[in-house]
Amino acid sequence: MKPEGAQATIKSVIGQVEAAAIDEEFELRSNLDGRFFSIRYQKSGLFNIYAITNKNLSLPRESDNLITLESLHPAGKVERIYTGCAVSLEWHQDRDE
Amino acid sequence: MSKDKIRENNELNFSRFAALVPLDKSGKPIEVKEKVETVSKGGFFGGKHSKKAYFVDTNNISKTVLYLYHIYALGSSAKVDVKQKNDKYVEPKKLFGGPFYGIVDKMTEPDFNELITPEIEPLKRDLRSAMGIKLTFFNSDEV
Repeated sequence: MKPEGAQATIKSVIGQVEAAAIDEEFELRSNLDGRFFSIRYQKSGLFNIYAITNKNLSLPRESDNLITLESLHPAGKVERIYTGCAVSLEWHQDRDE
Repeated sequence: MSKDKIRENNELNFSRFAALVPLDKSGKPIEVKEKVETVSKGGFFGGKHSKKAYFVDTNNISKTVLYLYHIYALGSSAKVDVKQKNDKYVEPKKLFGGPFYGIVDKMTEPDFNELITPEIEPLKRDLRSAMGIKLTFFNSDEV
């Protein structure tokens, strides 16, 4: 069966989309072995997963879970590890439960 | 979720997210193509700058399926894996997150008929036009 509705939704939002080569601000979503992960999901449907290494960053407080490229330690790095396309996307909320 | 469960998940050492992923006609996730365009600012000294644009061939979408992803930290590297796929949804449109995920999907005729009791049978036609979608839930541990 052809998913007319889903296709129409994506058609209306993706089309031709501009995006920065790398984002400037990252909302930290999880911490594994001292490495942080962030996701950027755009209305276009495009999503990027970033791995962030930042020497001086400890576990973020709930109200302080943003990191910017400016605040990144000189030895830190932001690496885009996955790019995909989704109609809808949700992160698992282990940390907030 | 209990603290023991959170600790258990942390010990598993991965993070999770779910997505409704459009597939192409060969059954693969729709590819996002990146294209670098050079744009002239105009004028002799205006110079040029490049920008990145992303394209998706929306005419090639055949079906939308649920993917559950795991993210692993591997020393100085990291990787994203698709752990589960579920294509049972007819026309999924939106995900809701939490300990349980919810999916907004198209209500099929059998789904609708299950809801109709003899008491509301006379209203069936009116209800049919009002109830086009359904919400189903799944636990990410059980997908």
